[in-house]
Amino acid sequence: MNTRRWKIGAAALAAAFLLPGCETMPNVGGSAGGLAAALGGAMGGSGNSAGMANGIQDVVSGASAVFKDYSPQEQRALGQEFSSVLLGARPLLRNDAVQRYVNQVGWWVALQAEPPKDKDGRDIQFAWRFGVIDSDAVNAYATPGGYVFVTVGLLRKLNNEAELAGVLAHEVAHVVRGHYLSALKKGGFAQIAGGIVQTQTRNGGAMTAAMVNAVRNLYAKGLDQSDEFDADRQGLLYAARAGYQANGLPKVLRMYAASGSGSDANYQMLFSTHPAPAERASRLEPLLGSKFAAASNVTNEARYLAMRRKL
Amino acid sequence: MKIATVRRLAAATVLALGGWAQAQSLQVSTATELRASPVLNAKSLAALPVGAQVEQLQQQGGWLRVRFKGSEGWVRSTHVRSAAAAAPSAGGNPLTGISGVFSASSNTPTATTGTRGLTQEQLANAQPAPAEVSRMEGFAINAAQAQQFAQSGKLKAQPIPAYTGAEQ
Repeated sequence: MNTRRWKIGAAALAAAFLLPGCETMPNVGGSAGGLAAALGGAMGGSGNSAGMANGIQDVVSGASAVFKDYSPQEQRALGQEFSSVLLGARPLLRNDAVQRYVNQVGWWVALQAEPPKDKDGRDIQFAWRFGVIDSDAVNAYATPGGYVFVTVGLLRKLNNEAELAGVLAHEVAHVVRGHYLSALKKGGFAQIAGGIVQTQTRNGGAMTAAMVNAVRNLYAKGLDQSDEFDADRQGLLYAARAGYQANGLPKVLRMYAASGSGSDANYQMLFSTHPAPAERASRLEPLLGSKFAAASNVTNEARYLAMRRKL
Repeated sequence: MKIATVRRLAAATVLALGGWAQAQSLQVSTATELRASPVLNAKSLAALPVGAQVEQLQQQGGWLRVRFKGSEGWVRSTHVRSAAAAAPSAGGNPLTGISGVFSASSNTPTATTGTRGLTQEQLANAQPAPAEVSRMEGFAINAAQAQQFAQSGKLKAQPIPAYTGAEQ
């Protein structure tokens, strides 16, 4: 028992020293490679298959293809481990009422998204979990399998429920459109993701240092810029379908552009992993007058502000 | 052709992300490295001890391109502060890093963060917290509860079709 603990400590220490050279995970960590090897070729070592070359194909069929690589249970396992690392950077806010409120808005919005299909053609039903991270930073994250996070810093900057719905809808889109799964594939993390999937059953529940590093790197690098724009468009759609005023997300993006900057530490991650917010807003705004011209006008400002006062 | 496009895009991104800042004298507030490019694991060009003077040339995202003893490289914006602001140092602890650094400059909120930030450094040091993930289960709701919540907020699902691709 003691020895085992010491070993984990040693692995973590090794990770700390290895970090600067860990951009491409498959080169690191023999133990993780061993786990991945046990999974055979099913995970697909690299994302460079011929069909992925065309950018449009990639977005349209690539998104559905990634859901065939991982069963819903495997996506859930990835989500749990990714969440564990994210919440290791900053913990959850200790405020049950706020946590529950964000789960309610999030679930309602998530119900408006078309579920992706698994490899047998069945709809994937996500057990959505929304969490508020106790951080002053302004950001939101998602993981495969239906975990979504927003920071307290972001909640403080929002003015109504329609804006929150827009932010959560953008994150829901990352999940149902397979953006994190395709980032794993393209980033060369497929093998190590296989190891992470196996962690809960074969490795006593503890991720290896190389796995932890892979997750950190994934979130430090962010997703494809085209996937961010895609999540914006889908987010606009899901929030409007949920009955909210459609301009919630564009308003939040304008707020980022007006009050944030890449040199502000609270916006550093958001700006380094996303396209410029003004550009994102300007791509959405024409849709407000066309496709979403007849959208509803509910913002539930009072309900939102009542929650915000508890932060 | 493709490469030229990529380069142009990259240049546009740099401008969009912060553009060119005028040269400014900065002081290293926590020991770090001068890096060849603005990524955490880029090649280290030199060690930057606490108190080292650097000159800011450019800003991109959370990174600053700086000149240090004749070499140019990149440093995290959270690891430096303006030389003027640094004068009465509150003494960030270079060994423990983050908390010392941030508390040392907490009176300049736009350039720094509280210890409650979530920076790339904090992410880079994150250790798994499975108990926090379990905690989330306590706030979990289901679809029926979400529908009830929507109803109490006068939210009605709108039948808006998926994008066809024909939208502008």
